Amino acid sequence: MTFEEFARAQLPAVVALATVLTGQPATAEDLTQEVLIRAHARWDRIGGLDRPDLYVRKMVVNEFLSWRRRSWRLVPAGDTNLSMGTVPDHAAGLADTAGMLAEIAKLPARQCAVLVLRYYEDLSDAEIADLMGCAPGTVRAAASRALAALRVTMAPEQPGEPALTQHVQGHI
Amino acid sequence: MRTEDDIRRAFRDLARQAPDTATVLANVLAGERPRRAGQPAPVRDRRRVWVRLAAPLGAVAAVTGLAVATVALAAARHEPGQPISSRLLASVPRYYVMLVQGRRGTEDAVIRNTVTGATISTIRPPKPFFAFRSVTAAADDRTFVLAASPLARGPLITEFFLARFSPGKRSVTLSLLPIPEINSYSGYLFGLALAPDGTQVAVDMQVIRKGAAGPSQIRIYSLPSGTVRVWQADGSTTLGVYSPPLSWADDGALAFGWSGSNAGGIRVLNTNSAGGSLIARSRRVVADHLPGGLSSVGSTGTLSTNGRLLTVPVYAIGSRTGNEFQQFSVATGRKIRVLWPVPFDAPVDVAIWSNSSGSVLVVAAPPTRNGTSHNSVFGVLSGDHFVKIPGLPVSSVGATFVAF
Repeated sequence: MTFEEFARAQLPAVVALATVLTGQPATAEDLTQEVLIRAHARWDRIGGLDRPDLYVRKMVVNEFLSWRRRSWRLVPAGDTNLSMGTVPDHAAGLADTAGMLAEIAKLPARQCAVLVLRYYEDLSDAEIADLMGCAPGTVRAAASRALAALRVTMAPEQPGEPALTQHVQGHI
Repeated sequence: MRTEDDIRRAFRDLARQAPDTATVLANVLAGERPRRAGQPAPVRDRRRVWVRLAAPLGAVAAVTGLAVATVALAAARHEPGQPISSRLLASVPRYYVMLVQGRRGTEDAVIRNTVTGATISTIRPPKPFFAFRSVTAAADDRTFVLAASPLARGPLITEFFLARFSPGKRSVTLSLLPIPEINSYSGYLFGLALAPDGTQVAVDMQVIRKGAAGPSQIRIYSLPSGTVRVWQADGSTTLGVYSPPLSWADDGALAFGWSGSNAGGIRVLNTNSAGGSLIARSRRVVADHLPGGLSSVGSTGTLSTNGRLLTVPVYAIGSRTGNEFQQFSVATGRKIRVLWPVPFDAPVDVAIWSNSSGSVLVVAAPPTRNGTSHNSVFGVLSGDHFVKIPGLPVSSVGATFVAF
């Protein structure tokens, strides 16, 4: 597979993955560009792999984690001050989409990446572990912590009750 | 599962904001690295990208070079169409399902990539079923309900399957739903709609009683339990609910076409209500004959996923000047805008998917508005742009055979 064939078939999915990871289309554009320039330079080797798309996804995730370590990531769109205590049932889910994205953005980078790979890319824990270079148990722990944090922060706030914080978070 | 579902929905919404891949590819091939922290943001001038591309492209493979050049040049000239095609295709669900003729005469379902048209997975009806007859999709672009029938003498039987597609594994899990079969002694199935969250399915049918057509019903079944709520037309009618597809918005509104006298048009049912009278529990948003008697509304309406806008194909019957899509406010019934007006003989058929605001639609319409083509094709419509969706045939296959 040539680089051009790969780009034509896979670029939309790669850019979408970067967008979900970073929370910002402009940042995703830069991240994808950075990754693909490196992939392009090494395409002789990458293009010969069984699944070059998985390899490039791995590069995207690693680049995202690297950018987060450099604190270069922009704050994603989303109002973190949304009222979450009064809107009932289904409507709450809609109203909270932006809030959910804002809360996910607050998670440690690896937890965020695990959520994206699990719930957007629909990868299994084993596949995520392979892609992120860690054990499946580590992936499960990260997902569990991230979900616990989100359940706490996205839960309806009871009047007079102090807001719960993200004490359940942890790095993997 | 609530938090996980919210996460999936949030990620899906975010993915639809993904930037134009043509720009990324052009910059990559030009070797242009993104700016680093502290550096001033570059001016994203597509004309400059084109100039920078001119030399390197000479050495790039001809096909790709031509494609990138076309994109960049079109952008520089502000030509509509090509530069935004990938962006438009990426702004609708990533996968769609279409029913196709299988190799052994079966009616299979295929899952395709919306951008490339590539078939990712094929679902064959499990024995003794022979044909999938209708399909509907949830909002996550990977949960579907399929209506299937066996090849057998006697009454036509239809049962329902839940299909869950895993893009990572390229696999589909198919499971029979706990929903009573519909057979030709009990009723006719007209249309289906899966709730956006994939937990309920609406069935649009006409009941058969003592061998004769009975009242029309919309039944909503819970997928996990099979429990049902029923809305039924008052009295008996042979007209009833007609013409799929139904359209289900995130707020629980369900749009359906209705041909009953004095109340015909597109109505919206509140699916959060208890069952009961279909007419009393629903509200007409658009009449089947618009003011002036010049236009007849088509039998289908598509809700924006936020439930605020209804998109309807409108046919001019008096002036023979053309047809078009019109968008109406669900709250007031007022016409908001006209989309894609075309000459009368060029058909606009149906809108089968809408984004949250109604600004991006999947429709069947002529690919151009110049009147030279009388075939309508499925494509993404946004503003003045229409981009054909790869892999979908002309709309004569019917909207119930495709689901986004």
